[in-house]
Amino acid sequence: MKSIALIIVVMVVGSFSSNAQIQKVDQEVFGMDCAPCAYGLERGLKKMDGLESVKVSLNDGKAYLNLANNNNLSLKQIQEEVKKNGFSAKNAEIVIKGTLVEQDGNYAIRTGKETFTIAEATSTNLYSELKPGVVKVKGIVKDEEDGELSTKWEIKLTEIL
Amino acid sequence: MNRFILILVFTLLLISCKQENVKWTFEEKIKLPEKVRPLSLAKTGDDIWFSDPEQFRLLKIDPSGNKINSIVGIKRPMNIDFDKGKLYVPEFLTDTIWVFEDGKKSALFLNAEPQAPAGLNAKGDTIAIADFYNHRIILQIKEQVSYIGKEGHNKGELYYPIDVKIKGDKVFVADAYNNRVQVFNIDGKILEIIGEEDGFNVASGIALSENGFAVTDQENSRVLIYDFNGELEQILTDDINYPTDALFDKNKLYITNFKENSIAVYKMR
Repeated sequence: MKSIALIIVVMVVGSFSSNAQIQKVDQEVFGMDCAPCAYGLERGLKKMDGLESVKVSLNDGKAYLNLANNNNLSLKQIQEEVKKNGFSAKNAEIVIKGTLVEQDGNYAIRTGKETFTIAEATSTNLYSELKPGVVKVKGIVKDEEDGELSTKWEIKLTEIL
Repeated sequence: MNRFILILVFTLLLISCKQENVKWTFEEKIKLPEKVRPLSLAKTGDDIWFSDPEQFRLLKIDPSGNKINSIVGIKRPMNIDFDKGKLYVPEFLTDTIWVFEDGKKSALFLNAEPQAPAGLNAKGDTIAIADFYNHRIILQIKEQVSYIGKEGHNKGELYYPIDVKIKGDKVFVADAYNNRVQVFNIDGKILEIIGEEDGFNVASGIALSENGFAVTDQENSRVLIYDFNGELEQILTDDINYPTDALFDKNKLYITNFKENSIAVYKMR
């Protein structure tokens, strides 16, 4: 009986961690004027495992990515692909599901591969709604210098989903 | 006799002066629907097809810019061409060349594997394709394939070619990121490099006329006109905004303004 309970616990925990991930990224890309170059970035992004759809818009200066269920991608990998194609990744609006934890007196969302610290610029209303545990949120991830990409980000929440 | 020579000299002088004064001048802008980004042009009779890769489509317009036909669902159509009733469309994201004829769509049989076809030129059984990521031109003549150029910056090497045109046994290549045009013979031998001293910043499109050719200088918003000896004849800048392609038709020159929804029309005067 104990072993069955253990299996169930492991399955539940496992299912949480596999769902912890980035689900959507609207990535601002600087310097997307040249059509074949921008659409080359689209080709590059499409080759990444874990994407459901990719569309680059020169009019908006953005790459729109919908990530597949159970993808294993990180924002860092996506921004590295942007950089590899000769562009600079700026702010990104993302939807993530992860575990909200308290960290150094602040909240942070862990997706397994990356940590998103909640930015001070997040509205107090949204901030007060946060409770430790599994959360799904939308927010803006601040532009980081391309040369200093890490797995730690700051996110200004715009919506709790 | 002296009088006859004098008249002859005067007439020749007059003709030469007249030829020197013949220039391309801005005529008008064809306004296109909002949010359109025209990348490339092909003429069919009085009407113009243009590719709008941003919206995954091609539009056909009349000389006033009124939409009269469209083809949708093409995954980034690039530099198109029209030859003998067929519209050729390179699909950048799928590495396919589509041929549209009498409302029917078919894939061109290609004995090669391009990576991101960016431009093409068809002349009957001969087709040249700018193979963007392979830094080469695919030349297919009656299903026999040969390649022109390889990646590099030296003479005869290419760096992200975007457009190509065939004239007789010569192949003119918009060697985009080497900022020049290179002319090859049909066997792939380099004949000439043009425009290296002219300050190009992405030589993206090329169009041939009977007397010479036009090259779009994309990042500088200019179009440069050359004769077939490679002599620069004129630089066009009026009402040009990020040109990606040009097209000669009779005494007119059409230029895509990729960053705005318009086509600039120049006239020979």
